[in-house]
Amino acid sequence: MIALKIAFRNISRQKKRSFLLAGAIAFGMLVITLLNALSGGVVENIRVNFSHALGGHIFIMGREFSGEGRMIHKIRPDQRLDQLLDENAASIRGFSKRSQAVPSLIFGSKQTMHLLYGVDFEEEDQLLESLAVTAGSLSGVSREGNALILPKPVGERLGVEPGETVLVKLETLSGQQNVGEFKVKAFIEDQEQFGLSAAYANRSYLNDLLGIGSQEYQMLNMFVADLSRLDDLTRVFREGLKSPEELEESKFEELEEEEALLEVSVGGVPLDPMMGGEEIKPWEGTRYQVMSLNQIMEPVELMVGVLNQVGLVIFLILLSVTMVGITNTFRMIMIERIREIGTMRAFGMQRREIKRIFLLEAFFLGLLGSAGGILLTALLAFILSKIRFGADPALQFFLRQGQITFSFSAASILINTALVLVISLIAAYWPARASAKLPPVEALSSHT
Amino acid sequence: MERLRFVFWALLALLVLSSGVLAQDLREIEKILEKIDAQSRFDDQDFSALMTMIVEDPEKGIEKMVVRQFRRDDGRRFLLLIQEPSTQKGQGYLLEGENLWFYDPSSRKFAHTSLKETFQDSDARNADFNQWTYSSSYQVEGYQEDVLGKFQVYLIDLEAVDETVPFPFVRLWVTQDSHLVLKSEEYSLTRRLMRSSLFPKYAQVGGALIPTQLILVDELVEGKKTQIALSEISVSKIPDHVFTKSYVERVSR
Amino acid sequence: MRKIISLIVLFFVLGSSAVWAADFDFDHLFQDDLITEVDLESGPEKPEEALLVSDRLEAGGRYDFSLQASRLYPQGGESKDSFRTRLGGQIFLDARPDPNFRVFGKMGLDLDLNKQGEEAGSAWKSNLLELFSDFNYENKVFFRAGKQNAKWGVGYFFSPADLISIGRIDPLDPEAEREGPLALKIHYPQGSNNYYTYLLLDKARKAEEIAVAPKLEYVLGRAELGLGGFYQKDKAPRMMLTLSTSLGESALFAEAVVSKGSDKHFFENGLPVKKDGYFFHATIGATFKFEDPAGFFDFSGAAQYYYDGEGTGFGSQIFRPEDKHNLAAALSWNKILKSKFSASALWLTNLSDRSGLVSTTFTLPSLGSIAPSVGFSLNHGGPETEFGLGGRHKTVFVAVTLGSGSF
Repeated sequence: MIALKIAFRNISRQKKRSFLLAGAIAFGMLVITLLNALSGGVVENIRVNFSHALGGHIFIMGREFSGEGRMIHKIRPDQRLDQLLDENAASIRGFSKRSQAVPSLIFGSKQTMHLLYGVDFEEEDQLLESLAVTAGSLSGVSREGNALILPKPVGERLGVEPGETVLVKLETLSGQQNVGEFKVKAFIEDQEQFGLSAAYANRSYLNDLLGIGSQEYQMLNMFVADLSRLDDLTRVFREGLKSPEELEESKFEELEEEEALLEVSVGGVPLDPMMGGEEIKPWEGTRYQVMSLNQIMEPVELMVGVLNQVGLVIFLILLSVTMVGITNTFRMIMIERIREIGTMRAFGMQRREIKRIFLLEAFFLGLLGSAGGILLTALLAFILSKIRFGADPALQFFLRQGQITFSFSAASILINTALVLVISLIAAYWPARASAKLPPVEALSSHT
Repeated sequence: MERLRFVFWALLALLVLSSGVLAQDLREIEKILEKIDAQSRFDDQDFSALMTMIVEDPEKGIEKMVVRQFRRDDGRRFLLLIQEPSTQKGQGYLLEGENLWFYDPSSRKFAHTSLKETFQDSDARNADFNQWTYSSSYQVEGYQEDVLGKFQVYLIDLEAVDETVPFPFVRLWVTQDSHLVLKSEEYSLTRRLMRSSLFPKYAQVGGALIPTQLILVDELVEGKKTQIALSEISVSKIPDHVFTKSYVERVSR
Repeated sequence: MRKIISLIVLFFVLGSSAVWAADFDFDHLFQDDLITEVDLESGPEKPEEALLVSDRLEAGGRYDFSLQASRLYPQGGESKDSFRTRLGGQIFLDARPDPNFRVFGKMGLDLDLNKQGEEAGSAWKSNLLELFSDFNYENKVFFRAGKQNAKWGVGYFFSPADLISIGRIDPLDPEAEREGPLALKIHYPQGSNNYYTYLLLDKARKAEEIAVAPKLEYVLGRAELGLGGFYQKDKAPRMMLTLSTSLGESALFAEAVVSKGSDKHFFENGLPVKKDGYFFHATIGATFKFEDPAGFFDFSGAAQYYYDGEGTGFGSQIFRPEDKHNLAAALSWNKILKSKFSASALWLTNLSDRSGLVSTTFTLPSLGSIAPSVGFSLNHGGPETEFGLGGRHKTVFVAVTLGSGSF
């Protein structure tokens, strides 16, 4: 108890020195905690932004071959799929069956290409509520077959106003040219703010233009109820949708299959590095591709993992510098207090007690530094998260509604704090042992 | 009653007869299409021309490109030499079967590459440089007689027989006497006019008649059109040494 | 003449576009006769020959003017600012009096800003880039005599198979022009195959010192195969093999070179020695392009691996007679998410001594002919490594090119 008191008194005795040491520790703590929280926040934001932009957590696509041997992406009404959706209804928060195209939107002499989703507005009743209208109105969208909802920047680029008609040029799935007339009903806020927000239209009309049946669609997007079960659910659908022939084939090429499914798509645009690579043998009927957000996030998380490791290395370097500082400081402290130690020993204090005073002092320095660092981080994070960043689309991808978000992990804070404490104790251990070993008489006779 | 029966039969006969006439005429039109396809074919001889392509885009402005082309009668060997724009002058594309060499005069290097799908970014598709295949890809929906400029024409409506051609519906203006396509309109699946093509000049090249002036109008984007003019046409024999790297090197700066 | 015709076409087109703006004047367009006869017998002259003749001297070239401000942060030293102006250009003259004879010359002109004040008069540095004549024997065998750019090899960042060029590829600017040899090229094309012999005169003081370099090019299916050699008295003879082909949107290339002995000096125990064994070089790589239909992701890139059996050398000396492995990769994202910004990154590394270089450039939207860019580069590796030689440093730069272009 006395040791504790003396340790505290010693810390407060040399305020400036203690402040500098604790400050160094706090700075290291600040860097690592802020970086971890920032990267955690970025991963979360990218995940949320992706799932918004892609409209789900699990994506199912159907592929079949047309009579002319052309691969067509579409899903026909399928009992197998409906049954799977029913069976797993509890795990699914919502799903949408959409068609999609990247058509040329034309108004007068202006044209631009943009992602367009064909949506069954009755089925996806929440979608319309979630859209932030900036001009026009969404009422009656589902009744007007050729209604079109445009992200505001696209509307501005085309110079069109709600109520006017734009032309939509696309190719049918079999490769024929087609043009539809759409009436712009409303502009919506570019929700994702990174320019990848889609335009929306009625699925049946888009299907007409794409040359597929009104009950058919191209992609089934699912939001799951519990993200931790995402991989399991993905597997359930992937396995459940395999045709008997595929099951037969997959016995032989299980590994290849896994790799082939690692197809990344951004904003509905598949980024397929194997284009024109291997030849695919045409098959009968529809085959499904099931992808999850986790697959898309894999490279992102890998990158963030590297970033965190870099952060950890910086943290460890800072700590080892601090450690040398602590050791040196405690040596100095020992020399300064050599008479004091002699007195304490003369009053009958045990060596163990002396050592404990020094170690406790280091421990509390570390604790103070860590706590200060965490507090500073919280303060900085609070201020930073209040800043709203401009409209640069590429940057918005990492943000949530234009703001930086931080995701603090209690476990990593605790581990880092423990690391700081252990290192402080190790740093102080040698000077502490040396002071404890000082013979009392020598210590008393010292003139320093 | 008898009168009525007569009228009925007369009407029926007229109907049958007229439909017979119609069928007969459609057959005539199909023959015209076959002739159009046949006379667009000139791939049994060497061919050389200077192609001027002007792309007008309301947003990008006017871009002009002049290309000298040589084609071997076997259809496997091409040489394209870019004359304009001046920044690309001297660049050459030498094509032989599946191999394409791109020559850059400033580094004097032949880069061996694969064949690209579209030739520059314009309304002109590869199909425009190939021969027409109206008779095999389309069936006649109907026709009527019309006048275009000073020419008596047939106005023929075509529908694609399958999904292999990009435009499902086409309307042609064909001269009645010489069977030349003066104008074509290409429609989307929803029967919306997408592109108009005008062919106001032809050249007799051996047994073939090829358009020497093409005007392709994008009917969806206001003010976007492409013009192609062929000049200095020649079908005389091209020596072998033209389709070689040495010729490309010699002719470029 | 051709120019005049195309000008006429242009005027015709521009003139009539006013009419089209309202609608087509079909009557006007379809009033003349449709068919123009092409006279096959009395054509003016053969088009392939017309391109080879010009009754006037053609001139052209390019103009480069750029400013670059950079700050270098050496490791453990003071940062250093520098500012560089580059002004230079090229002028070429092309004379074609006859289809079978042509003379071409190209000069480079650079302003050397290190010389100023009294020396300023000589600050202009000019050099002869090319000067050659083309002639042939009955359009069967073709000759090019003089100083000429000649590219052997198919590599992008490294091209050991280019046995004859004097300039090496600068991996930082792989598409730049390189100095060629003073040579007589004899070229015999046969179909799509080509047979060449080069007589290289650059360092020949006596007739027997003329170097000989034959080369063959064969087309095999979708691939082109090259086979060449180099022989000069008292120099290490070399053989090379190249291959190029395409796969989807990627172009693949590979080179292999073997030499008997090396022209470099190897330092062993402080003494220069010559080595007589066989040395190998090999490289393989690819260039690719990718663009999604919407134009959000427009990527182009190149990657190449290079095994250099002769080893790290500076000039003609090799201090460490070890072979080395290099890897180079470049990736450009053009018009990022359809914006006017572009970014590119280049990574060069020597896997053997673990040194390397990373360079990134961010191109900003240009204002007319003013094209600004910013960038960052850093190197890593020890003091005696390929990329760590001048010490480790980081550099940031801002550059702008002003009105550069070809004419």
